[in-house]
Amino acid sequence: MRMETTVVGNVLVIKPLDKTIDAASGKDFKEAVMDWVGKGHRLLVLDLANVDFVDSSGLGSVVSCLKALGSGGSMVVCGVQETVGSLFKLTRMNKVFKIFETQGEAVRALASATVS
Amino acid sequence: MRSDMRSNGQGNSPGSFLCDCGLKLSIVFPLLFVFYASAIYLDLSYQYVLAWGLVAILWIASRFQAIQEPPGRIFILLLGAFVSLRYMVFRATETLIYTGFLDFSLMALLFLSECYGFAIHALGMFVNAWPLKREAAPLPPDPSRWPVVDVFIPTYNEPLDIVGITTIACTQMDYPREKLNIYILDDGGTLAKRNDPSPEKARAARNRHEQVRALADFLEVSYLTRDDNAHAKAGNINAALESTASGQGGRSPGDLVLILDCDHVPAKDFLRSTAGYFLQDPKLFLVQTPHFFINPDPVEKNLQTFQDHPGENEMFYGAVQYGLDSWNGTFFCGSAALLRRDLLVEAGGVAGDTITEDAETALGLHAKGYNSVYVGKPMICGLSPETFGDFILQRARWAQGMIQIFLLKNPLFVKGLKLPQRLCYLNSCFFWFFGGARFVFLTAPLAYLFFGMNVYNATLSQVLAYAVPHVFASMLVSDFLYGRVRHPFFSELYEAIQSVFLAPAVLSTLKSPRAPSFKVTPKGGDLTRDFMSPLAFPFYVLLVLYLLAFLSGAYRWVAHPLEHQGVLICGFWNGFNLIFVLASLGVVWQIGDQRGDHRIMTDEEALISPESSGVEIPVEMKDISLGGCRLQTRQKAPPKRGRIIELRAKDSLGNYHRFDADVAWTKRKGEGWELGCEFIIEDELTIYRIGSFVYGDSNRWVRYWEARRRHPVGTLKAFFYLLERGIVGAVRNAKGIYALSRSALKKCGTVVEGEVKKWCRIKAKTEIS
Repeated sequence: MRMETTVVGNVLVIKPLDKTIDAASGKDFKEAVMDWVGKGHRLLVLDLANVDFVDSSGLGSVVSCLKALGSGGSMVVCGVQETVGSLFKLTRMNKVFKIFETQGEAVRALASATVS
Repeated sequence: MRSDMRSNGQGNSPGSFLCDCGLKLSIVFPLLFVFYASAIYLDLSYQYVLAWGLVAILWIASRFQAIQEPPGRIFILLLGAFVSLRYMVFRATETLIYTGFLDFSLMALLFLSECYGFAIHALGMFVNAWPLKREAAPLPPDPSRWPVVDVFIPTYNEPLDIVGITTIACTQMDYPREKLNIYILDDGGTLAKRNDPSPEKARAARNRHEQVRALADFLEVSYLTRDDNAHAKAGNINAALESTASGQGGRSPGDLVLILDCDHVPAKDFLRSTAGYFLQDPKLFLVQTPHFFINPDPVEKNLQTFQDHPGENEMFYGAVQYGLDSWNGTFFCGSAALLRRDLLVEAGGVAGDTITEDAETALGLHAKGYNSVYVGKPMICGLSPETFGDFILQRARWAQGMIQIFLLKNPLFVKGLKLPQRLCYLNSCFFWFFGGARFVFLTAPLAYLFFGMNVYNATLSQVLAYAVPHVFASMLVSDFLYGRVRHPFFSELYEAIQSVFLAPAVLSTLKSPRAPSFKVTPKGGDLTRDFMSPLAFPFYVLLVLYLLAFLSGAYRWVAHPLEHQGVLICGFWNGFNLIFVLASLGVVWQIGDQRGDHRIMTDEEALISPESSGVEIPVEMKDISLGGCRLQTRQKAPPKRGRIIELRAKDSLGNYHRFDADVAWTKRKGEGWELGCEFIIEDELTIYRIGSFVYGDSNRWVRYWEARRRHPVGTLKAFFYLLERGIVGAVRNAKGIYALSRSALKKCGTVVEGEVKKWCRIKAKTEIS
């Protein structure tokens, strides 16, 4: 799975470039995220601006990344398209992830949460 | 045919019973006697004794449990019919007097309305004479012999989470997945809609198309749409029947088709409880089940009767459908029904000549000699329309559609139906003329109180000897037939509320039977604030007219001493109508709420364990929703707010459920505590587990219906209850208007104040310069 990453302060922004997160790409995604977590990144922003479909396994991979971060880390989501947003709403993922409109808002929220 | 069905263990039906036992004649003779004896003239004093004596017998006899079943049941019905028929004969022979053109016209209108009322009452008695409660038809132990089922979920513009929850519940049904094909039929994203000339509409349709398709992919079900929206829901289903005729994705097409409105969430046992009937009877085309509503309709909600009284549709699903079934006349209600695909296709699919395509389809298939079955257990859970406007929109569609059937496919003349089936369909169509009749009853006394028009020529003694016993007998019979599922005066209330709007809708259909078009009933709307329904105006007009009519009646009482009896009768009648209008005012003031998910009331045991405590606390679950639940415990020190608990429960089907939940609030209740808990969403699959627990167990809905039906209410109590609800509703309405007026005046004051200040500033500037 192709992903773009940016480090802003202590926040790592991950932006998948593929349109879909399914079983196969979800596995790649999870492995990559685990790798970054292993390198010490604990505050992650997942920018889904390019993603227009997430299947059940793909969503499962994203959730398992959040779980892997544990209480010492945090993962928020931004740039959610309508189709993905409706799936988040249906599965109540909006209760699991904090969702922001833009990358900037998400980064600021994570950074300020760490400061406070 | 009926004998065949009985031999299949499907219970008794009157058709077979009458044929088998030779009881036909024994019922025909009393019926003929009733007709004959109704026409015998009696002196008024004898009529008093006869009518009130029979009412007393009716009242006493109907209390006995033994008489609930036929043939005792038939005796009660004949007795009631006799009292009412004597009244109708009296009305026709002694009260229709020509005293002037206008008087006579109104008198005839009132008489016709009464004839309608009597006819529908008599048809109701016939339909419900012999209700059929079927035995279960279990599927064979070997699942390979079970029929393949296609599930169709038609959708048009409903919120996606509603469609999603229904689809999730379909995937959780207790049926082999390889024999289950689930399709979302999206009419909101058709090609025609996506290419709408309006760019905005086209974009919205494309968005919806993408979203519903993504939803279907996510839930691993099939997505279908079509080129255009021809014939609305019927066309949508027919297009799906065609495109799935050979199955999809290498899967076999369904032998049966389950049709579900997109807000009708099926319980786990739906197919297990219904599909078996099709294996027993190859000529069976339909198994219909009740529509169980999780939320109150606007009448129940705004008058706050939801918890104490059976829901409006329970009379139909809890009594009438059993009666229809006994005559092989259960009809398709558009959703929560399983149909045999090849018979549906043979009939040309779902019919589309009228806007009640469901009943029309069933009529066609019954006429072809196929059978239907009604299973009275609620196994889908749906949403009622939430605003008064949506409610009227839905009822107007039903009324117009059934009257279209009456006009275009009149069941009395359709070839192939048996006489009882004709009467069943006639009853279902004819019922919808109530709007006109009820409107006449609501306004008739005004003609006398305002203008002294003789719309009803009878003395008080005659009224007491004929009319009042007839009213009592009708109410006793209705209570006997429907008492558990419809409390007294609620039918009249619902009819009164709808009549103002349905009467014109019915008239327009009579004028142009092919004109009405299908309008989707909105579901899941947003109602966060109280507001006045835009349809409220006619009830204020009626209120003013009724109050003025009392004044006019008082004047008439003083000015015309010979008319005291007439004033008394019409004054009482006017007062009765006033109660309905007060209640209607309560209904049109729509109560808002801040709810998240709809809650289902329940009463079941569960266990909770506060996180890492190792203790188990028994609790009673009082209500449940997709968001959480309300629990009650006798513990003196329950888990505090913010604490995470583990909730463990077992449903009536034997499945165990476990959830983590947050204690959102606690409240002291009696000796224990009430806890409000929110389910914790752990992962993307949690919603499946929650949905499965909340909507999977149909016995919870059965218990809920039974709880509401447990306490039949007497006539007098029901009258005062309605009066109280009416007054409370009207006061709430008045307070609402007062609040609206105050806020409008305040707004107006602010605007005026602003303008005055502006003017003062301009003036000051001008003076300075």
